[in-house]
Amino acid sequence: MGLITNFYEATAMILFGIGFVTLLLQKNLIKKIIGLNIMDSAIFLYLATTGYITGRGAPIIIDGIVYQDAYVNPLPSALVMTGIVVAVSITAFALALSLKLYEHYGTLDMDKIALMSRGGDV
Amino acid sequence: MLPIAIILTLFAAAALCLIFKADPAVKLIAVAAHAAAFVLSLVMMHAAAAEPISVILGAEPWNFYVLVTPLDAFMAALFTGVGLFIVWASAGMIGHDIDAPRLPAYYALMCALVATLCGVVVFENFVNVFLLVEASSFAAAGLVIIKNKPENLKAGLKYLSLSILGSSFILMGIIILYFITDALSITGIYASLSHNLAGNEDSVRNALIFITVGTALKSALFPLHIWLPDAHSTAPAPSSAILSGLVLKAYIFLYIKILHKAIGADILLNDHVLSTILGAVMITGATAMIAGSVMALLQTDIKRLIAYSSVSQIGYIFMGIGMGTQLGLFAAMFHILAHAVTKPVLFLSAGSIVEQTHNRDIEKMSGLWARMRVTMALFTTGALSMIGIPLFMGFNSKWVFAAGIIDSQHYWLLGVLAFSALLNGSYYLPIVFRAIFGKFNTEDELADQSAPERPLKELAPVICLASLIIIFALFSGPVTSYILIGISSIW
Repeated sequence: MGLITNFYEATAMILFGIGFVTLLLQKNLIKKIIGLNIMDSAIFLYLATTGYITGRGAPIIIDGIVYQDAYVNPLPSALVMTGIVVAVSITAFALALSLKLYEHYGTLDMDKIALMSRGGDV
Repeated sequence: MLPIAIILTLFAAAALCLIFKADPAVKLIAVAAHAAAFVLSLVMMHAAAAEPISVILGAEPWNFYVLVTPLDAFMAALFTGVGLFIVWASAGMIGHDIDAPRLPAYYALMCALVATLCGVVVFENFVNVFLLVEASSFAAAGLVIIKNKPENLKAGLKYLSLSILGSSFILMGIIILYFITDALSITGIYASLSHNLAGNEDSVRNALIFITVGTALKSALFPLHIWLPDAHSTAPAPSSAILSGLVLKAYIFLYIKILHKAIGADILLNDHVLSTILGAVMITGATAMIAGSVMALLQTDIKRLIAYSSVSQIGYIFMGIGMGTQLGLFAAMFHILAHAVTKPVLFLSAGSIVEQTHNRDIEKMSGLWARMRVTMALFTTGALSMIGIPLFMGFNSKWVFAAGIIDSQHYWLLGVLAFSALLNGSYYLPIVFRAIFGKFNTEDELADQSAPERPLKELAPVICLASLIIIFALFSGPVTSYILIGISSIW
C-alpha cells in the first residue's frame, strides 16, 4: 500500500540505489559519472514530488489569482533548480578530469589506471 | 556586516588574482586579502562574544541568512588565520610544484576556498550552506589537480566524486528536516522541532543518519576515508596543508552545528535512537584513532604517513562529538584548533624535505638534521604535538579528551586514547630519530646533492605556525574560555 501511494518516493529511492551502485562498482569512469547523475536525479525527483500537490498549478501568477491554494509549493522546485546547476558543474568538471586521465593513460578503466600509476613514478 | 565583508574580501581577491596574472601581484593580493580577513574575523570574534551578529535578507525559509555566534566567529578566525600562514608559505614553496601559468589560478582557488569555508560556518540558512559546501568541494578538488600530474588527476576525481556523494547525503538529510519543520534555517528548524517533534521522530532519525554519513564521508572518518590519502599526499605541500588543516574541519563544524543548534541537545540526548547514533559516532571515532595510526605505521612515503595520521586525528574529533557531553564537545573544538595548527606545520616541513632532497621515502631520511636543522626542528615540533608531549598543543587537547572521557564515564576510551598516543609516537618518532642520529648514507645518490636548507624567508610562516603550537599550549586560557563561551551559547 505504501509503495502504491508513495510510488514517486519509492522510484526515487530505487534510482538512488541504482546510481549509488553504478558509481561505486563500475570501473569505467564515464559510467561512474552517469551513476552520479542518476543519483542526483533521484534526489531531485524526491524533492520535486514532495512539493507537488495534485490538482494545483505552477506558481506563476496569471489572471490575478494570488491566493496560495491554487499553486504547488514552489520552494522545493527552487531547491531542485539550485541542485541541477551544481550537478551540471560537477558533471562538467568530472568529464574534464576523465578526458585528462584518458590523455595520460589511454584508457578509462579505473583499475587499469590504478595499475599503471602504481608501476609508474613516485 | 562583518561576516559578509570577510567573505567578499576573499572572493574579491580570488577575482583579482585571475585579473592580474603577474607573479608577485597575485601573491600580494592573496596574502593581503587573508590578512585583512583575519583582522576582520578577530574583530568579529570580539563582537560576537557580546552579541550574535545577524544579517537577514528576505523572508524565511527562502532567504539569505547569516548568524554569527562565538563558535562560528572562532572557526572563521581559525580558517582565515591558518589560511594566512599557508598562503604566505605557498608564496615561497608553490613555485617548484606547479607551472607558472597556473599560479594565478592557484591563488584564486586558495582565496575562494577559504572564503567558502568561512561561508559554511557563518551562514545559517541551509540552502546557502549547501551551495558553499559544494563550492568548497570544487575549490578543494581544484587545489589537488592543480599540479596536473596523472596521479593528481586520479586522486582529484576520486575526491570530487566522493565529496559530492557526501554533499548529496547531507542535502537529503536537510530536505527531510525541511519536510518536518517547513524551515531551512538552523534556528528555524530548532524552533519548529521543539514543538513539532511528536510523530516525526523517525524522520529526524533518518535525517540524522543521512547527515552523519555525509559528513563522515566529506571529513574522512574511517572507514569512509578512502579518498583522503591519495588526495592529500599527491597535492602540492601548501594545498595538502590547507586540505588537511582546514577543509575537513568545516564539515565537522557543520555537523556540530546541525547536532547542537538545529536538533538541539535536549532532543538529541533524550531520544534513544538519536543518542545511539551519537554513540556509534563515538565508537567509529575511537576505531578511526587506532586504524588511522596502524595504517600510518605501514607507510613509507612521508606525505602518505601524515595523511593517514589525519585520519586518526579526525577520529579524535568525532569521538569528542560523540560523547554527547559539553566537555566532549569542548575537547573536539580544542582538537580542531590543535590539529588545524599542527598539521600544516607537518605538511609544509615534510613538503620542504621532499622538495630539497627529492626523496619521499622515510627510510632514506637519515642524517637530515645535520643539513636541514630548521626544517627538521619544525617537523619535530609538529610531531611532538601530534604525539601529545607536554609543552605542545597536542598534549592540551589529549588532556581535555581524557577529562571528557572521565566525565562521560566511557572509561575504556582512556585505553584507546593512550594506545593511540603510543601508536602516534611509534610512527613519528622514528623519522625524527633517524634524522638526528642516523648516519647520512654516502652511497646514496642523494649524497651528491647538497640538499641545502630552505631560506629562512620561505620558512618564516611555518616557524610562526610552529611557535603558535607552543604559545597556545602554554597560554591556552583565553582560547579555552572563548570556546567555552561559544559552547554555552549553543548548548
